[in-house]
Amino acid sequence: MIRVILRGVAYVLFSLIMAEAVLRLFFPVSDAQFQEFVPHLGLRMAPNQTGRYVVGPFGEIDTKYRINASGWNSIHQYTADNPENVLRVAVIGDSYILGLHIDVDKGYPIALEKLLKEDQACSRFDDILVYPFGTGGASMAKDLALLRYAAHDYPADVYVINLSKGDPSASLKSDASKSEPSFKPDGQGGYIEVEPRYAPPPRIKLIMPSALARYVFFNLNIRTPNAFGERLGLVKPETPALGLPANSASPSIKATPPLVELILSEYQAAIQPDSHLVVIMDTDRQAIIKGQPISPDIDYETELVRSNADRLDIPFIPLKDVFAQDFEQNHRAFQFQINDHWNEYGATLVAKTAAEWIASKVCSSLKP
Amino acid sequence: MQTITNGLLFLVLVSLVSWFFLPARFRWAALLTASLSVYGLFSLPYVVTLALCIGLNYVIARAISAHSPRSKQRRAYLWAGIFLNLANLFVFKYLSATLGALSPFLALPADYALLNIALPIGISFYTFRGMSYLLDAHRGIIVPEKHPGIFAAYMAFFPQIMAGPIERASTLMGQIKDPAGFDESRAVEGLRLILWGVFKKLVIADWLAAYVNTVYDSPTAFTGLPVIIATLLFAIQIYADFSGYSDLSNGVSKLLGFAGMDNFRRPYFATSVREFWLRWHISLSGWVRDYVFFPLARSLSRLTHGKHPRLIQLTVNLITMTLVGAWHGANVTFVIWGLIHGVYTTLESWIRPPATRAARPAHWLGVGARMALTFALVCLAWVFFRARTPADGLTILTRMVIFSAGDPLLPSALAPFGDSASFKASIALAVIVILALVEALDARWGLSQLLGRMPRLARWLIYFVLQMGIVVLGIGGKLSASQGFIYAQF
Repeated sequence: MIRVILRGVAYVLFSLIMAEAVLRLFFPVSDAQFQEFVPHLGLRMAPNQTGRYVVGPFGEIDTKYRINASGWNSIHQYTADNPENVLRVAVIGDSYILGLHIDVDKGYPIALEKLLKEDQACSRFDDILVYPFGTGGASMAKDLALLRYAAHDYPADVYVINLSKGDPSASLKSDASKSEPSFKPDGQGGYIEVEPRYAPPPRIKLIMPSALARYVFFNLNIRTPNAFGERLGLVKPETPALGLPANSASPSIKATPPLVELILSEYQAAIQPDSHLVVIMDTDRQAIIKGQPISPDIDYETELVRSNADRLDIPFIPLKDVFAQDFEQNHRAFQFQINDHWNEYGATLVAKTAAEWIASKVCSSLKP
Repeated sequence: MQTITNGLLFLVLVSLVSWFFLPARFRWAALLTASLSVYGLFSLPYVVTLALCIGLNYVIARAISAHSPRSKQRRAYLWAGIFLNLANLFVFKYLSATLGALSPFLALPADYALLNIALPIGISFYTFRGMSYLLDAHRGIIVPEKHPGIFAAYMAFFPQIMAGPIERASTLMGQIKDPAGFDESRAVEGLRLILWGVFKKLVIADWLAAYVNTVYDSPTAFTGLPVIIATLLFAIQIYADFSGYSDLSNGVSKLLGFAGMDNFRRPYFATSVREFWLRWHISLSGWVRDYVFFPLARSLSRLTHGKHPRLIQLTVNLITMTLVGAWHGANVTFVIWGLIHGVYTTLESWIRPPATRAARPAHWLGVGARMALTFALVCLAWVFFRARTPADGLTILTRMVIFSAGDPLLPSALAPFGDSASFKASIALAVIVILALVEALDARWGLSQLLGRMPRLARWLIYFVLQMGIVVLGIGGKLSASQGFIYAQF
């Protein structure tokens, strides 16, 4: 038996070395991206990283990223000072805004910046800068923390909050990671904020020099034993819990109107009085492409945010019609096959929508 | 729930490690713990159902053996056991569908609670195992085991609990009672089988499933070549899926020192449908042959005094194959699939009785043609096995022969692959060639012997290529959860 075990160990070493060599020689392998914990903010990318972000076994998504000195994926180095004749736009949100899936010089923030610079109404500004503040999986609560951070450290003229499917419910403490900001019920029908608790970033630095480790972790997105089990078909993917909130019209959505109203009102309170705020809500793009009805959960979430935004007088732009109309006219896919993220075309569509709103509501209304 | 899962995983590990170190007479305990823990990982509430089934068969088998061979009580116990086993299977597997079908007549509410009974994993396999145990005990082929722990370890034997094979007590029980020590060559063969089984499932079966699902989930969306290709690919998919599981199960058994049984012997190399059934799901076809086909044929023959042999053959074949079909689930499509095979085997026996076959010279061209014809017939029957409803099956069959004059052949054939179709088609073709090559080499020289004669480096390179295939195409190729084993649903 010992001989078999020794031979097994030798084979494992052989296959690891071979896999390392084969992946380095023949496969596009992602670079490792590291995160850091920031008090009040939670996890975000560690500053000063550049590299190649690859998703898929054959590099179906293969892009360049550049995390600046402030920890945000952008071609700009951020400055706290916001000169008077410069229009600064802060875009806030999740992985769509982090934008690793598109080259850093072609993503949503850059597209928005270009469109605004080309717009007649905004041409009177000496410069227009779009600063993205995105972290993977950001909820509405995390967006609030990002908004406060942006408004404090890099004050802007316009703040664009980008929400995705599940962002309202993910703001609840029960669904959020402990190292991310969240809200919990206060027992009297309201909610209170929960500060993110320090969590050491995953200790992956040691194994990241290995192409095999990076291939599994980033290309194949297998980061937990459960994810591995799911991929093998041994573990069933988690499904959302049903029937939780008694006051929710959609039983799989845990977020309640008071929670969404509270967060939106905090958005308003976080920004400077003379700045502008707009909330953009993504949709079920897969359903649009397949010609199927939009998931009722997303419709419910959109309505939840819209009704509260209207009550608080916060401009709200749902992307449902934007994507549906574009698909009807052009029949072009606006997302990747391998995952749901916007591709360059999809990002440009969203940028156009945001640019039109900023040009009409902000640029034309600001006095020179 | 996570704590229970972790606890069960820990139990599996501890019991498997202790299997190798415990004295032989206590190893059943390690095997039973591992088996129940593995079952609990997949279907925790149904450990109770499994335990009840084990207890029932143990008690009845002991009662059977307590009475003399020709006594009425012995027969009564056997029938009681068969009835209870079938009742258990019926409640979990067929009751929902039966009530659903009868609901208009019984005035049941549409959301009748029993309609939502979840199917315990592997229930068809362990029920048939229990019934074969009682039948063998009644026939005196085996002496029922006195030790309840050893019997339970046999019934719940974890490598086979999910999707078979339905191994009989006569071959497995002795190995549990008197376990073999660690056998190096058997363990190595077991590891090879595990690797090949995983490759077959995750790379071959799952990769082909994408094309098959696209066509079969929208039967009216395609005509002609894509429908034919999807049917051929499904034949390969289900073989790779089920035989992949069997290899995996056999590999784990061998690793633990068990001999394991072959559930497949290159079924698509069969030159007749009857031969196909000697090579496909061998443990089930053997079960049905021994416990249904022969007894039924003998009874009918006695009843008709040996007259009308063709009619008897037709009746027995149809009943047996319908049972095989219905064993898969409470869906009419399975029954139709079984009936088609019943008709095939009967017609084959009428056209070419088995006795005349050996006399014929086996020219390679004739063998090839017969193989192709058998494969085509089997594929036509698979249409109903895969289709969601009989109507879908008929639609698929009809649309197979509809070709639009203007449609370019290659693009229409590749269409169900979706984006990057040529790339996906190349991969599908490559994995099919690998499967065919391995099967052919195994048939000609025996894969184990062939690998054993190779230099170690060459052998390791082959393992490595399979392993990379699993990582890149199997795990990476989907970037989403894999589909479970098809036969684990049964």
